[in-house]
Amino acid sequence: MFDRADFSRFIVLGALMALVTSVLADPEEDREAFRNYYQSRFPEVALAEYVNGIYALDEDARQQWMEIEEFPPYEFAIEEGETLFGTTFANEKGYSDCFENRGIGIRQTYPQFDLEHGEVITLELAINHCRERNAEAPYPYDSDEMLSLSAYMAYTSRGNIFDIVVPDDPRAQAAYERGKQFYYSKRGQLNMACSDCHVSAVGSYVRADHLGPSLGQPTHFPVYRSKFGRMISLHSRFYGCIRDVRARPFEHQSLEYRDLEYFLTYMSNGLEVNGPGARK
Amino acid sequence: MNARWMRIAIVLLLAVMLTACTGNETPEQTAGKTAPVPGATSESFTAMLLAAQSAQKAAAAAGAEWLETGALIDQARLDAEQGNWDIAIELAEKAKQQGELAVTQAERESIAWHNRVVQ
Repeated sequence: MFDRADFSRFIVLGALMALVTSVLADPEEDREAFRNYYQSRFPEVALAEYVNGIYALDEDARQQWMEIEEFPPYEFAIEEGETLFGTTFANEKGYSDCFENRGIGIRQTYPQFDLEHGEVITLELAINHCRERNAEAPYPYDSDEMLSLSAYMAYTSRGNIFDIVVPDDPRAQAAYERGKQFYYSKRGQLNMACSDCHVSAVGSYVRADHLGPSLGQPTHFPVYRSKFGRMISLHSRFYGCIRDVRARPFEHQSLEYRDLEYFLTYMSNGLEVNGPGARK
Repeated sequence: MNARWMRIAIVLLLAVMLTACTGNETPEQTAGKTAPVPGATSESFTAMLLAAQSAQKAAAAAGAEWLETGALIDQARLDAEQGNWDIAIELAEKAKQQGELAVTQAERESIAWHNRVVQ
């Protein structure tokens, strides 16, 4: 009935259709498809649960995590962040002068696309921009100070709904597309894409751990990693994943990671901010 | 031959056999070592190093550099400084191959990623 040539034509046609569909998809269509994928894969998991990452899928790990949450290891970071946030700069101004709503409850609007400079601005980058505008030295992105400020600002936003915007601007759409391309591209000596683990193999074991879903992943950062005994940022998590597939990682707050965060956080639009979090 | 000379002969034979064994490495033992490169010289190393650096630069420009490429080049340089030309050339060649493969991967993925997008 079908010969080999027909089969090959079907394969090529299918690949072309996938290509055309993905090229034409807008962010909102992507988000709907992304959400539908996880919901059809794990129909027993409520949408709102995805903000808890792997603990939405792994009941045993969830029990351990809930016990950890009784005395959250990130509390010290929140306290330090609150102190830092309230400390005025040498020029008598403070972080509250740099942000909307004086910096309280705004985590759900980051990352943003800065139309003036034509680039994605993450919350951590905005914190350092604020410092530099007020003649203060920027913090290293994996410093305790930066992570504590980020943790505090996330904490004041808990329960707010992520609402990342891709403006009708070709530069913003290009940034979103670059982030999407990064997410789905294989890289490194292991030839793996983010989506290989967090979409195709989500819920499967890697050694002793389950692979978590990307839906809801950015909502709980920064997180306290028991493995390291400290807070880490979303970009540290990106760094670790890229290194693990044996590709050379990019620097924190590189254009690549900011675009990736932009895409991934847009995919979590509609979910609650629940950072900071605790992970193994 | 009396028993005393017999014991001495056995001990000597065992010593010779043990010495021979230590000189013969198993394939697993030799796997981590590099085979000599025929005609390895500083000139051939320099040519391979330049090729490796060029491939690494191309991979980095494509945003696709692999994790070990830089370390391989660094180790190749160290071996070259110590005159281990054969090992140095082999490491530089490996780095060059990694750079080229990374560029090929990036070129393929510039199209192939579309097929993985969740529909």
